[in-house]
Amino acid sequence: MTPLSVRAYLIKKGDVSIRMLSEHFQIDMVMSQLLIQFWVKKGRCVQKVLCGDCQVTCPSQVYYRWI
Amino acid sequence: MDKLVSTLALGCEYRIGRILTRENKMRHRFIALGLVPGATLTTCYRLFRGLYWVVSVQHQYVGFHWSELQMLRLYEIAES
Amino acid sequence: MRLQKVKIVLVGMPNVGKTTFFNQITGAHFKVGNWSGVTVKENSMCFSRGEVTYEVVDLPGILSVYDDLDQVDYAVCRDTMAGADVFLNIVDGRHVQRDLVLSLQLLCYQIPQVTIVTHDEHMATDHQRLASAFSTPLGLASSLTLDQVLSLCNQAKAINPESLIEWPVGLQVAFEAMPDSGVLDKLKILVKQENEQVQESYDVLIAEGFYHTAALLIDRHGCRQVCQDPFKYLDDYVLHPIWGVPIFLVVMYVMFSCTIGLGGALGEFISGIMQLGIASFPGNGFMSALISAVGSGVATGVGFVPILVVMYVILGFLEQSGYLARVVILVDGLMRPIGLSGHAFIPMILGFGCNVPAVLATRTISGDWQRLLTGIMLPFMSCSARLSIFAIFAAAFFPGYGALVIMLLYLFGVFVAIASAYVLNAFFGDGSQSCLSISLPKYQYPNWPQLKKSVCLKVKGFMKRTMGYIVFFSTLVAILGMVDFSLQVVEPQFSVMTTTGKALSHGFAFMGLGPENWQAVAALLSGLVAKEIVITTLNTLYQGAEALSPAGFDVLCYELFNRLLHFPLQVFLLDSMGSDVQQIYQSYFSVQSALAYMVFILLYFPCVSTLLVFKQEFGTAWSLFVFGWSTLLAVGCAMIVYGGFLWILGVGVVILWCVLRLRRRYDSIVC
Repeated sequence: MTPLSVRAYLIKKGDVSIRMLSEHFQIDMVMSQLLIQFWVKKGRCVQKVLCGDCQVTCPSQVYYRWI
Repeated sequence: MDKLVSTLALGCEYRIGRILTRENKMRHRFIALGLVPGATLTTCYRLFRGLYWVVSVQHQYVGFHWSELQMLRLYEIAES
Repeated sequence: MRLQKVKIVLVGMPNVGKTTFFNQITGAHFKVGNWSGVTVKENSMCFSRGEVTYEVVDLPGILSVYDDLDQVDYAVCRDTMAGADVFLNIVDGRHVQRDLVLSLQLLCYQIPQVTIVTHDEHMATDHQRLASAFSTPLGLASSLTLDQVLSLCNQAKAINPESLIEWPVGLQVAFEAMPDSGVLDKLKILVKQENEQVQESYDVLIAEGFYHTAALLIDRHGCRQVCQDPFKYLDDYVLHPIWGVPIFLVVMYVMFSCTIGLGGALGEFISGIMQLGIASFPGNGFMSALISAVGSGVATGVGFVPILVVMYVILGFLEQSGYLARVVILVDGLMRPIGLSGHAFIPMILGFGCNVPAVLATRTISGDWQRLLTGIMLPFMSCSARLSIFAIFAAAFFPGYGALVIMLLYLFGVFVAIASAYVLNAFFGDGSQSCLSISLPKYQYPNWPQLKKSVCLKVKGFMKRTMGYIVFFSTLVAILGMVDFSLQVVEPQFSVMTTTGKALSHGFAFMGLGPENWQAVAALLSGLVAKEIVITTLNTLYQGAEALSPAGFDVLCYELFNRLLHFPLQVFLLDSMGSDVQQIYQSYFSVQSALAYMVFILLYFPCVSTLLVFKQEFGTAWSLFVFGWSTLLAVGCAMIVYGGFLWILGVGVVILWCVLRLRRRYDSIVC
């Protein structure tokens, strides 16, 4: 679970949620969030929300996509 | 070879073959909940005579109506 | 080495508990919180031990030491960290691997480091293994004192990062090509450079090095944490095929018992004290009446605050703990026949508190029709404002059975909501079924600061939205009760209110409200603004006929303690009204007309705030429909209750049955 392995997983899977990442790498969700944010800050990956009509964003509905 | 199942048993592990519904909304919902082809689910709780099921997918619980579980092609995982 | 002054700096990721630990060892009282960004500037305290003066410095949380991207606090920390003699690296016991990454970065300063583990009760790893993984002296925050921390600091030694961190090959080459300087300086230069040699930029390679080393150390020392759910066993009861539903009913009972008993008792006490204060104003005439009207309006509004606080705290507790998500599965079976899923139940529960947040909560429901249908059902959920009206009427007309009557009214509201949803679904429904599939979060202790914040916001919103209306309307009602159409102060029997109420009261004869009880009709109209005003208006108008004397302070205290002592059973013992108020109400209503009045109030048009939110969510047409539909049902049900017009009910049911059969037949032909 390093930035490069996360990148490879994102490219391979397409849309990935924090939970999927945690399960795949066997790490806690906070760690997954940190790794994803690394790529989000660099502008290489975008956050997408599945249901646009939610007022409160439910974590299970948020996923990330490699650009 | 894993065996295709039509009825679920409590406490058993199943592999998701494919999502049978073509409705995009349901497909997205399944994917967001981690119910993707190849993932395994374990039945944990059965309520109201099997009308509702709580399954464990990727270490998290998800509640379903029976009709929604029928939208998944499930295989019983063969013991090797 | 003995230094005259030793600077100990607390460093760590945001929200790991740095300030809490700082307060613990220094005895300070700096603000702490369970979220990131509480500390925004450095705090420090000095201590002397022999010849050495120790300065302990608390810093804001940081994410990395070489990359200042998006770190507002980084500038604050940078200079302090460079001047430190020892780092106290604060690590969250729940996220050891994440914090190890920062710990490795701190090694680049080549300053001695001590690791302190906070939240160690959640730590899944052995203390010794963790100390070896971090390669520093390690202490558990819960059991450390200042002297023990100082002793750990004296044991700490600087470590060469090169000996521990495994850099990617591309980065190793770049390091060797650079002039001889500290690792941190090299990192700071490289992070801003583009890498032309290999595909990856240097910042990615640097991050790769830290994360890779952290993972290696965690695996090598066996510190990998397996996520565990300590409350998993609760699901065995909550989702039990037999016990699940009774547990849910008990939880709902406790919620209403606390809201009505605890919140209601406190609300009445506060309201009573305010009334007592208002009554102490001397004098007669216009100004005195005005002060009394404004004051009683404020007292009514303030009386609602404890009820709302209790309800929002319990709902927030259930929501944050993860139980409400389980409730969705348990009640899905009830909602499915009307084309809804269990998700619709949460707005309905919220509707018992206030319809406004409930309408907003429908946003979480997927499917436009399902969302609208839930919205249409919500005004029939008896909100806490209506509860206060029911409480007064029930105590006056059904002594000993008050709680039972209220409970039946609540159930009747739910029944009407479900019945109207069934009918509307049959007529306008698109036949789609809402899907249930819901993720069940792990059980957890509620986040109290967050809960407190959300309750404060909701109560403030309620006060802002309704308090103005209450005061304005009760004052307006008082003025209209004093002046005629030419705005001259006249006797009450010639006032605007009396004339209008009398004129309209003929139209309400179907529920037993004649010209002799025009006050009740005027109160119903004022309920359009907010349901809380109904009882204020009634009291203001009845007070014109017979002055109410507020209870004394001793009586209020007695009633408060009496209700608090009995509050778990309060729902069955509702009898808290003063006998003088009961007598006034009994002189204006018969039992039948009181019941019809209560049913009418339960179902008739929602308040302006709800209608406005409804318009915002579903459009003007549907908000007008809700206005008409609810009033139509209210008239029908009040007629049935008052006049016993069972034949109306019979004919209605037969017509409905015929229409539904026709629709089904039409559907079968089309298919």
